[in-house]
Amino acid sequence: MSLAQVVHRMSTDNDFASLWRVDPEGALAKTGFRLSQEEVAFLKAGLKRRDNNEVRLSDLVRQARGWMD
Amino acid sequence: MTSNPTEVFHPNAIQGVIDQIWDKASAWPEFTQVMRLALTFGERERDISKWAELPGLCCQAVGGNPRSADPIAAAWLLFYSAAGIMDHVEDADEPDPWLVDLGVGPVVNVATGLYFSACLALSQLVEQCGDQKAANEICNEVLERFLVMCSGQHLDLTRAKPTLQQYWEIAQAKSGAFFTLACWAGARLATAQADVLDGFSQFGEHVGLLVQILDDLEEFRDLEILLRRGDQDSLSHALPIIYVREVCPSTVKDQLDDLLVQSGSVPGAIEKLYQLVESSGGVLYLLTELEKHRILAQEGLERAGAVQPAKQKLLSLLEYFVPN
Repeated sequence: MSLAQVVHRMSTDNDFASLWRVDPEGALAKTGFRLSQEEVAFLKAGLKRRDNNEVRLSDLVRQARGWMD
Repeated sequence: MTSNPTEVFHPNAIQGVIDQIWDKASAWPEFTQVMRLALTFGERERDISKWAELPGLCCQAVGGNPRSADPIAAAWLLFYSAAGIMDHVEDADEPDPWLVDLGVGPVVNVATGLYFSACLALSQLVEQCGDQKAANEICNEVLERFLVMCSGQHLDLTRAKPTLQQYWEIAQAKSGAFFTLACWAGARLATAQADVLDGFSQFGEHVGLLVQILDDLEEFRDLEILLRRGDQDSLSHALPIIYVREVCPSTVKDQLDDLLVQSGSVPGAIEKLYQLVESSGGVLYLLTELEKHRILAQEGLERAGAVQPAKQKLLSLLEYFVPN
């Protein structure tokens, strides 16, 4: 489950997050994590969504109801 | 079969198929009344009718007549409602008023009635479908996949704290397989082309996984209620909690366990639990998974070569999963 581990590292290690912003492949290589090109693209899409909307867990929980209705 | 772009989904047509089944089987009115209530119970929880459009839309997206998929949509809706009731009982969820009024025994019997009604809807498909090979293949596939879904449910019920990998395996076997069926079966009515069917299966599977993520987020909505009645177990199967248990160091996991115990009674503990998930990257993980399955669902539809106007309707279903 390396995608989850990379997400955790990005959320708890500012140096890793900063390096990822300029060089995702370099950040992965430095920490020994391996992600496929596809997984890198998913993570970039997730980051874009989080940073554009400043999404909180409470927002996702509240919207889950709206999505299903 | 020819496509008719003006055809639209009619929930009444699906209910008509179900009523016909109950009439033909001479099911007693007292029982059909409660089964009908059970179907609308699902709709009170959430609008499931839009998901029942999937077989018809996928059929139309490969040039078929969407109305020919009505028996599949009826079977799918009946299975969905029956499985929802069984899930409710098996998880010992907070009972809905109609469940309390009836009691567990009759409720399980209603679910059984819905399962057999679904089988009869499939049998109607075999009777009415011009393509017998396709109809038989669909019936076998639906029933076989259901056994796999029950296997997934068995693991879900018996694993106290699933790992992230087990979570996705179970989600794929349950919700993923269920939505795969809706899309594959609808498309199968109009084509036997393996690559096209694979594309629709991919679309359905990832829609199912998106629905599963939202289901888990709904558990969080009822967090206080769940924890007040000591139901930490339900949360142990929810994606944000499994993520924290998978990636965080043991000190954070201990904190999580303490908060899960405290949250039912200690003021402010729920807020701390939310903060813990957020600071561990839980929100980013959920958004990444939502994006992943949305992108893969979209890719599936492209692979299938879906045509308009059904393609646009199928794509618009994915918009439900994009946070504002």
